[in-house]
Amino acid sequence: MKRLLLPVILGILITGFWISPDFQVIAAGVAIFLFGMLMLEDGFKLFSGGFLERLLARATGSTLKSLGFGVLTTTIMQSSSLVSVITISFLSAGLISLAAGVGIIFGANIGTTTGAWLVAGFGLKVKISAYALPMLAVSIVLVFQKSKFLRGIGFVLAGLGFLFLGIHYMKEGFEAFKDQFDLTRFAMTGLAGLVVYTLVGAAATVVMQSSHATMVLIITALAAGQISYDNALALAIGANIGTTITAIIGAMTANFQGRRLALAHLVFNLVTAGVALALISPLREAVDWISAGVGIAPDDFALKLAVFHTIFNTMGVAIMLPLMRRLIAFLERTIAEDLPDVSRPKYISDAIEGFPAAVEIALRKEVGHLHENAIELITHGLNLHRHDLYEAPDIERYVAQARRPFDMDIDQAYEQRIKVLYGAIVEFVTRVSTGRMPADTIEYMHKLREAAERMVWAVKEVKHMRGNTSHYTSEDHGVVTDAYNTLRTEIARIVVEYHKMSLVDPDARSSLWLEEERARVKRDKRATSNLVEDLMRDGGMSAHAGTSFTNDASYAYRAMKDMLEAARIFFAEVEGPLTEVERMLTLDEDELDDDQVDRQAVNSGAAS
Amino acid sequence: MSLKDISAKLQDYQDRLKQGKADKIEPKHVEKIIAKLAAKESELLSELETVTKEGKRERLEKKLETLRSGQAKAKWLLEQI
Repeated sequence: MKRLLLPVILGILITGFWISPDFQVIAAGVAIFLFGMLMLEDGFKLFSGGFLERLLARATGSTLKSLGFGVLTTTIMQSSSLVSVITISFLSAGLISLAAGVGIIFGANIGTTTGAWLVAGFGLKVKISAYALPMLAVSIVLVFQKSKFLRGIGFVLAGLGFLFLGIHYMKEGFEAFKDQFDLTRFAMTGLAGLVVYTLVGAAATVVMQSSHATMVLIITALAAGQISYDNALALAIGANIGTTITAIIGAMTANFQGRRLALAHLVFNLVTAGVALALISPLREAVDWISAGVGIAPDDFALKLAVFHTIFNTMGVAIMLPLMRRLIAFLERTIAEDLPDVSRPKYISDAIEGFPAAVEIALRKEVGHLHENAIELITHGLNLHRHDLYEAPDIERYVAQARRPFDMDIDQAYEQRIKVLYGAIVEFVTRVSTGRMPADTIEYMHKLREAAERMVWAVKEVKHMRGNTSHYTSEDHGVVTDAYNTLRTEIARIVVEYHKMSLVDPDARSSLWLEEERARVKRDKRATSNLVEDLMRDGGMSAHAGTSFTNDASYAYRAMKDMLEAARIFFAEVEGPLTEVERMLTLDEDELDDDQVDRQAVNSGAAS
Repeated sequence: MSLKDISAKLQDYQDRLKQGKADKIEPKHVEKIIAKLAAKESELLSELETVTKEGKRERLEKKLETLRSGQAKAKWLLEQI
């Protein structure tokens, strides 16, 4: 089917070009219009790097707010498709709720109707190309500017210029076309007309991937008298069904939430179309009544179509809004939540690519997910329960009492819970960094990748020390057991510090809170080394146990250092100037070495 | 970290700022970090009041000491900005 579509479309175009030169003008008009939409989308994406996404993220307060936001953004951007795709990406990244996403999609359906008003009320009434050409000339100057903001304005202006130019050509083409062909010969009345033209409208929108383009085509054809008003109404209904294809394609690579939203879009548009088809006669009368009320001429069918488009979409929202809870329940029932497979990425996906703020948030959450898995493995690797540890009033005592080895294959757990997820993070960062991401987003992504990498290293270190740790702490081996328990306690304390940091509001915490832990690891490492030497010299620890412990202590301190580095990067400030301040106040590695070893204090800790 | 260390870092920051490679720090940014350090300080002080175990007391006191050292550097930085 997919393979056939392209030759069929090309065949239709070539045949049309051969039959009528005016068809070329109409087809070129559609092409220029679609090109304009692409430029408009590119322009708005350049404003992103946060702006667009931050606005979307704020539209989650209430359903009405989301609805209003959908109306507003689609009106400004003149593309419900772009709004739908961004909404799906944000939903997939876990930034907005499903209810908010559905609200935005409902609003987008109303917002998109402003396009019909612009074309019918402005595009057909004035010589629109007179505006298009200067806009294009100015836009190209802006597009070549260095500033991202100016380039964004340039693309938006160029997009609008091409939209206007496309409308102009469509209008011209239909005007000339009507002298050669009378398409109204194909007009159909009654139920057959409704059904056939609805299907044609849907098919045209699927092909063009834009209901806006279909609506413009319908309005210009209607204004040129090439299609009947009744058939135009059906085409408009069909366009509303066809437009759901963009969201469906967008959701294919999204997670379950994105797929739910695409289904919501389909349900909404199908219900609205069904009701509009069933109530076509009263709706027609309502259009006549409203048009007369606002002073639209009875024969101005283009504007009346715009009235119809607005009425039936607003009616759809009025019907579906009270059913919102049921709709959400239906969506949740129909598309089940993906199985909570902790080994697989939960937040990063193809659906969020191209939206810097969504990428940053999703990647941050995914690294948090990896850290969670890693901390679970680190604690289990040391035969400790995370949640007991978090609750323990005395960590040292809890660790000393935790003697039972966990029945786990740590190598297998590492492969399943860490390696797959870390691989996905590295692959995502590498892939997305090569795109059109802003430099600061790329820098932040690489920092997050380092935070993931450091935690993975920590797991590997714990993996190495697990065997001896289990052996020497499951039964009492005197000072050797004490020494291993010291290592376990020190790692456990860092796990607890990480947990405490994760509970604090991101705006209230600082990675500088971990400075003492970083310095302490260095001090403890030296103190432990001295202690083992003393014990071996005194005969308190055998050479065999001493060698094993020295190796394992080396793994343990590297694990602690990596965990702290992972936490420092992960919990660091993300706002530029605050990052600078934090960087200046953070101790460098050599500065940590400058601290004098508090032998007495550390010895008391190590021997306890 | 001595004042000399942070002074070198400040110089490095100013060089990068001149080259347009750093974000400009304003007093409010340093004040925000100072506030965060102060919040942690009061949390540690409250915890210290309830702790009896010697080892834990020592760790908390040392943490406080490092935190206060950071605060002092941040205050110095605030004067320089």
